Amino acid sequence: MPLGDVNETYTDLVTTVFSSAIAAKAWFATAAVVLAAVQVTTAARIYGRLGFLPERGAAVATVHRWSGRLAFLCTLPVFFHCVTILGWQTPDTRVAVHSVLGTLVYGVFAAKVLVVRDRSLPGWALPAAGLTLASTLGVLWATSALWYFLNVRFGF
Amino acid sequence: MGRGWRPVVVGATVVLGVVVLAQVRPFEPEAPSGAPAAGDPAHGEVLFEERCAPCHGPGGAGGSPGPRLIDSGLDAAAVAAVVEQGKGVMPAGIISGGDRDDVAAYVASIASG
Repeated sequence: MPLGDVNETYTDLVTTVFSSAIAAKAWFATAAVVLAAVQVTTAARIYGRLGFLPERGAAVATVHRWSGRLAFLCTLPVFFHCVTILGWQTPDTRVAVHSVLGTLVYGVFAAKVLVVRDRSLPGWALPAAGLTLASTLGVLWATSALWYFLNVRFGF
Repeated sequence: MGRGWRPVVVGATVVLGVVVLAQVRPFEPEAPSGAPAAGDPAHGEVLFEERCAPCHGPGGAGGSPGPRLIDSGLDAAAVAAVVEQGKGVMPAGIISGGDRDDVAAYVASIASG
C-alpha cells in the first residue's frame, strides 16, 4: 500500500465516526486526558491519599492499570496524525509548545513504565514520573484539543 | 552505568525515534490529491461559518488568527490544498472529502470578489 494511501485510509476510517480527522484527534486526546486524570486519582489513592475514595486494594489497582492501557491506546491515533502526517511545526508559541511536548511524551511514558517495574529506585521516582507524564498530557491537550474546541468547533 | 539510568536512556531513545519520525513524516500527503471536485458553495458556506469563521471571521472577512479570504484570489484547488495540508497554525485535515470540496468552492467564490 503506498504511503499516501495510508493517510487517505486513516482519514476515511475516522471520518466514518467523526466529522474530520482533526475532530477525531481532539476527541481521542480528550479521552486520553480524562483517563490520565483517572490514573492520577487512582495512583493518589494507592499512595493513601484522597481518603474519600473507595478503600485501597485490588479494584483501585485494576482501574489504575486499565485506565493507563486505554489512555495509551487513545493516544495512538493522535500520535499517528501528529507525528507521521503533520510532523514538527513551530508557526506560533502554542504549536511550538505542543510540538516539543509531543516529541517528549512517549519518552516520558516509556520511562514511567520502566520506573513502575524497577523496585530499586527511590520512592519518589514513580510519583514524579507519573505526574510528569500526566502534566505533559494535560498541556498537550490544552494546546491542541482544548484550543480546537474553543476556537474552531466543539462537536464530533 | 547503574540500573537507575535505564528509564532515562530508554525514554531518550524513544524521544529520538519520535524526532526522526516527525522529521520524515512518512504519511504526509505529498501533494493535494488533485483538483477538488466541483463543490456545492451553498453547503460550503454553512460549513465555513461553522468551522472556519471562528478563525477567518464571518464570511471570510478576516479574524484571528485566520487571514481575510474575501478577494484573496485563491482558487478552489489552492483552498483545498491548504485545508488538506494545513498552513501555519491551521491544522491539516480540518475538513475532509466532499465537505472540503464544498468549502473550497465557497471560499473560491468569495475570494474572486
